[in-house]
Formats: sequence, C-alpha cells, structure tokens
Amino acid sequence: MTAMPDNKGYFGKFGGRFVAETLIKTLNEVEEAYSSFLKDEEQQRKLSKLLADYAGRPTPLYHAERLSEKLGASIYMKREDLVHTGSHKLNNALGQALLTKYMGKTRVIAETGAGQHGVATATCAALLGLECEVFMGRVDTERQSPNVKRMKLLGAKVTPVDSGSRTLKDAINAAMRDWTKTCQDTHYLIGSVVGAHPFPMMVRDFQSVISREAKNQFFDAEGTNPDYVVACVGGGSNAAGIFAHYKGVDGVKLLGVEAGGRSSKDGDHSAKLNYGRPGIIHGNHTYLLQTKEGNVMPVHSVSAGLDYPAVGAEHSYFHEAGVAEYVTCSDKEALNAFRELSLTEGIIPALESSHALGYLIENKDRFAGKKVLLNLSGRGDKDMPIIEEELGL
Amino acid sequence: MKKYNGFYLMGNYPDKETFIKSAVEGLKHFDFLEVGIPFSDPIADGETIADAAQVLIDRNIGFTEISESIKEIRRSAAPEKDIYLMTYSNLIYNMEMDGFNSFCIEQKIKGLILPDVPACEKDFIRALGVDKNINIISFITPESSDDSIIESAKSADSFVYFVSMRGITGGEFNPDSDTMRKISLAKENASVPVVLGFGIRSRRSADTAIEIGDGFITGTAFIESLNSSGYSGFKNRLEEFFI
Ligand SMILES: Cc1ncc(COP(=O)(O)O)c(C=O)c1O
Repeated sequence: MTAMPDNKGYFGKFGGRFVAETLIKTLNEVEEAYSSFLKDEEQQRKLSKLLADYAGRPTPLYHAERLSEKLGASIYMKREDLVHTGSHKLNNALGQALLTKYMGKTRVIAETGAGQHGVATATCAALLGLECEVFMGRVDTERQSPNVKRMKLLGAKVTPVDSGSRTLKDAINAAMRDWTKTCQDTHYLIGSVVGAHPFPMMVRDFQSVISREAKNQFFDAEGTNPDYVVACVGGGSNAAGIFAHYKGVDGVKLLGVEAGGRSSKDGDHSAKLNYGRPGIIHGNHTYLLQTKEGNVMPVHSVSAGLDYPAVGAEHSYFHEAGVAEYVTCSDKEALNAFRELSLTEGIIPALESSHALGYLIENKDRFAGKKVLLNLSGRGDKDMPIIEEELGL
Repeated sequence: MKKYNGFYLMGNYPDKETFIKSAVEGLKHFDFLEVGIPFSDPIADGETIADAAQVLIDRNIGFTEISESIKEIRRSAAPEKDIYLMTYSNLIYNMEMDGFNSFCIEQKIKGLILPDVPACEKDFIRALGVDKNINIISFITPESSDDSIIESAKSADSFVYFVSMRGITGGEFNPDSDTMRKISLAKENASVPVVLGFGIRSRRSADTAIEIGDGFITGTAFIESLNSSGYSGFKNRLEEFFI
C-alpha cells in the first residue's frame, strides 16, 4: 500500500488543512517537529520506556473463553482497558506530550468527550510538568463526572463548554479557538485521528502500537492472523491503532463499529460512515452528519466518546476504498454487551468498547467458527453514572 | 492606495428588515459589506457572532433567505459598493454550484471570505466549481512567514484580509512591532488594498488600522449594538466611526 497521507495531508480525497491561516505556521512546525521526533533515538527511547514502565505496555491479549463458547467463535481481546488511566488514549497522549516538550512548548490543551482523553492528557501534563486545560461539553461533564474529578486531581483546568450541543464537537471548537490565540506556547493535544494534517497521521502512528503488539501476540496464540479485527469508531483512533498493521493483510477483515444510538433517524445516532456524506469539519474533508445546507447535525450516543458527528479522514478513505467495513451497534445492544462482558468474563468494559462487542453478540452468525480480535479500548468505571441510570443498578 | 473599509453583518440578523436597513445605511459610509451566512460550528468566530449564527440556524434561516435580502440591498445601495459573502467551507461544499454562481454574478458578489480556508486549500474550494469571477480572499496573519506574505500579497484579488491579531473575532486589536512590519511587507507586495480586520471595535482602533493599513473591517461591535438596541444602536455605532 502506498504511504498515506500524501504530503498535503490527504488520504485519497479525504483530509487536508481547513483551519484559520493563523494556524498554518504552527501546523507546519508540528509536522516538522514530529518528523524529527521520529528520527531522534533518545526521544524514541523515552517514549518506549514510558509506554512500558508507566503505561503498562505491552497490554495482554486475552482469550475470552466463556464468551467464545457462548458465541461459537474464538474471541481475543486486546486489553487496552489495562493501560494506565483506563484506555488506549494514553498511547497517543504520551507521544504528543513528549513532542510538546520537544518543541519547547509549556502548555497543552485538549478536548474530551468521555473524559478518557482528558484524563490521559492531564496525566501526561502532570508527569512532564506541563500546564493543562481540558475543554469538555457541559453535557459530558455531567454524564462522565468521575473523570472530571480525576482531571482536577491531576492538576488540569477543566473548562465546561456551553455552546452548540455541549458535547464533543463543541469541545473541539472551543479548543481550536483557544489554540488560534495561544499557539505560540501551546500544543493542542488532539485525542483522536481527527483534525487538520498532521494530526490524523500522528495520532494513528502513536496508536499503531496496539496492532504492532497484537499482531505478534495473536500469531503466537493461534499460529495465524484473525479473520476479523473489530473496534468501535468515535473519531476513530482505537480503530486506526488496531487496523494499522492489518491493513491490506490477506484474509483479515477490518470492522469498525459506529454508534447506532436510538434509531437510524437523523439526530438519533452518531453513525457518520453509515448515514452521513462527505463534508468539511474540524480541519478536514471527511464523512459528516450534516443537513442539506451543510450545518452539522445533532448526534446522539449513550456513550460520550462516540457522540461525535464526524470521523477521521483515513476512515472515510477506508470506507470508500473498501479497506474496512463500517457497521453499527445501538445503545441498547451496547448496554447489553456491557452487562454481558461483566457477567461472563468479569471485565467491565467502557461503553464505547461495548459497541464493538455488541455488534459481535448481535451478529454472532457472521462470526460462527471465526477467529476474532476485538479492541477492548477502555474500562467502564467512568460510565457508572450512565449505567446506574440506564440499567437501574 | 485609496482606503477600502468594510463592515460585517450576519445575514438577516437580528431580523430581515433590520439587516437590510443596516446594510444599506452602512454602505453609505463603508466601501464594502461582508454578509455572514450562518454555520453551526464557526471556529474562527467569538461568542457574539457564533451566538448570532445559532439564532438564525434555530430559526431555519440560511443562504436561501439571506440571498433574497442581498438582492434588496443591491437595489438600494450605490452600484460601486462591493459585497462579499463570509462563511465556512462546508456551506460552499454543499452549495448547488450553478445556482450559486449565477446568483453571485447577477448580484455582483465580489468574493468569498472563508476563514477556514488557508492558502493551501484554496484550490480544493476552487475545484468545487466556484466561478473564476468570484474571488477567494487571501488571509495574511501575524503568524505568516515573510515568504508566504509576499506570495499571498502578490497573488491576492480584491483585497488582502490581514488578520490583525492571533485569535478569533471579538478580541482586542493591538498590533505589536513585528505585526506592523508584516503589514508593511504585505503592502509593499500587494497591488490591492491590505485591509485589517479582527478586534477593531472603536474609532480609535479603526484610525490606527487606516494609518498602518489600507483600511479596516469591523463586525462584532455592530452585532453587539444590534443586540443591545437594534437599528438605532447600529446607527449610533456607525456614527461613532464616521462622524
Ligand atoms: C474507551 C474509549 N474507546 C473509544 C473511544 C472513541 O474514540 P476513538 O474512536 O478515537 O477511539 C473513546 C473516546 O473517548 C474511549 O474513551
């Protein structure tokens, strides 16, 4: 496969740099710094060491035997829920936080939906002595309140965002506005494979550690590659991470699971690749849920981390080129999977990751007799307020 | 260079009549008008303009309704006055291009001001089919390198939009010495006016902009006046700038 993205940041026709001219110089600087960061052996050693000793990598690949038996498939889980802070988000946050220092910047800002990326960023800021401000939609500060408290404990300033839908997309708007003012000393530590070039590439690269490990681990366990690699898709970073080393590998089918929400009606879901069309948002040309005129549509998901109307440009490319297939899982199916994994395996998954599992459970015929690698992107402790409400504990 | 001053109004805000009346009155003093078309996620705008956009979106008002108002403004304003559309790339991406192009040509829309389209993505927008007679305005900012300033200034059509501060609309205009130098560099290389916008909200900052640049653009201040006291508020603000 040819190297993607191209030098203007395009994956085929998706991607680019649709931001204020004011940010172009900064994006160029980030791109150049990232390129030399990759070649700097000392920096790479630092990152590897932190991923191992601090984050707890490599994460295990777990064969879920009871669940496999129930579903009639062989199911392996890549345990990103065991990464320090509870999700895959730290893989990227550590990389970009080191890059921030490498560039000589002193402050990081971040957007967060579920709060997992906010916590990961606040953690890295504490670790490396950076100032940190996290933007979070007001709705999300309420439904993911445990994470708000964690971020504050870690010394971050949490700024609730009251504009628009008061969820993840508005948190990104707020962070981009801040960055346009503060780019001289601040790095915008974007949490998913979204935004303007080089972010979709850089975040994908930092997350690709997931499949770099998983591919070998799976091969050691089964002597072959999986038939299916499955991940949930919000912005698309955990999916990009687990897809990275399986793209174009013969016999491996890549499945991204979007949030099907309450129904396929406008406003009831966050399934942009299934029900949206291309547009331009948050710095890139990509699939988007939008009105006929091009205003961004309200979206919904029971999971705050998937409640986002767009998706990383590379997934739009994968979707059109047939590199991966994108399907949906409803709120109800995800909640069901959340309970199922807790009861069957003693693992409480994040509501986001429960979408990947929910698709598997609902479509078990498709996976009968197959070997499946599922990215368990995070753990569910943060979801207790929603779970109490939805499952009435 | 003859001075070239402009003002921004959000189309059909706070309502159709007030918008048209304000636009026509403003064009008696200003050389050009920027008409905002509301977008749901205006990342280059501060709260005042973003909130105004949301009010219109909630009322289901968009380009279709605003284009009717522009026709009325054209009928009343002096023919040598220029009109630009200011919006975000996704609205242009979703336009039915034939209809959009004929509207712009008939109403003499001089250009598009798209704050999320930097120089490197202009070709992408042009390739959507925007008529070559409709200019896509170039931005220069305090962050632009000298090379890119020279390149943008030389190739600019209609005018150069010099974003006079780091940040979004509604901030404070206070150019430092390096920014002043960049404004001069842009002026030396441009054959069109270098107009300063962002953060200009008073007569004093407008006078500075005219002194160091070839003109000024003001917007947030007018939206604030319309919010607090409607057309009379707008009129008072206008007089502050010109009398
Ligand atoms: C555990 C977990 N998984 C998945 C996501 C969705 O993000 P992405 O699609 O970028 O992996 C989030 C976002 O908050 C998350 O916390």
